[in-house]
Amino acid sequence: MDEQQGEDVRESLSDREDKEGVPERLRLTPTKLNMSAFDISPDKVFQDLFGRPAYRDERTGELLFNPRDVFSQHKEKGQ
Amino acid sequence: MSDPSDWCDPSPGSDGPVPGTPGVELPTPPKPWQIGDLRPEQLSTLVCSLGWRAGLITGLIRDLLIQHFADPAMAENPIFRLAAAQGRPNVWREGEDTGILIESIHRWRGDIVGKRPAIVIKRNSYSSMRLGVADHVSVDNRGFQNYELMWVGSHTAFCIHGSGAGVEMLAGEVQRELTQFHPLMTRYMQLMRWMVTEVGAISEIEEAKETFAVPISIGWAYTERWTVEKESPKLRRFTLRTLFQL
Repeated sequence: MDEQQGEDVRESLSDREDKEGVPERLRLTPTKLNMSAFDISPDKVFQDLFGRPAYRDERTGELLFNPRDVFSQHKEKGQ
Repeated sequence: MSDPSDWCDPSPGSDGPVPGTPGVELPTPPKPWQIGDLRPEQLSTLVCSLGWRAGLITGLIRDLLIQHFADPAMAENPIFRLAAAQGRPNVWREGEDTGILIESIHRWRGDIVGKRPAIVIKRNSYSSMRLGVADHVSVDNRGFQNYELMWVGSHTAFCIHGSGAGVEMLAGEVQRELTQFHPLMTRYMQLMRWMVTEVGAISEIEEAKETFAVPISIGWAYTERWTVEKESPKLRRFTLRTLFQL
């Protein structure tokens, strides 16, 4: 009888959900790395490589390197 | 290297004969052209004729790592040399009996990964970036339009090992190799940028049981240039009437 109660308690603990509705047993299980699904956004890569966010044209959605901006910054620093 | 105890270094940072192992001496470094199959002049010729493309960068990373791990004398961490001197196969070799698997993710070897160290290379997303209006940058002396576009993206080298300590050492060696070559990458390989941008946390992987991985991400940027050579002006002026009168 006691063992059965113990199992019930364990089951209820593992199925208990947190505020976001995620079962506790899932939250406590360490996530595994899926290499096939691993990806890094080019925007983040650009930020890492050039130290500034990429400029995205609001009208076309294209990423622009925007060299004029860079050159003007260099000019200001030079002055 | 296949066992965590293999990685224990009796004297970290030592170079030369390994203390405590009489008669065991570290091998002398081979000449760069004796190991691996990286031929910088061939690669640069390929890049000059074809231009950079993401697949070439996958090959470049693989060749760099193969060259580094083909001989333990090239390794910075003496634990690699110690393991080799004691007869444990932990170097890259062509074929099934390689000590370290270095491969693209498209050539996934489920039978080998998990049993020995591995470095699996994966290309991530890459994106175009406009350098000028409609990619137009100049007109050459023949009157042809020159265009240029920049591509920004990254690759990830997943260092894989059966133990957490082992994968840390492997990841450290790979990260230092890829980081320290960046001046040569940008100068001789005509890459605009080349940088190890992130070394991820240790985690288990889904693809193999009880195997740990550290993702090492390499960011890169290169420009793609091309010229559109239009037909000769004389041919463009041919009219249908001229053709009908022939």
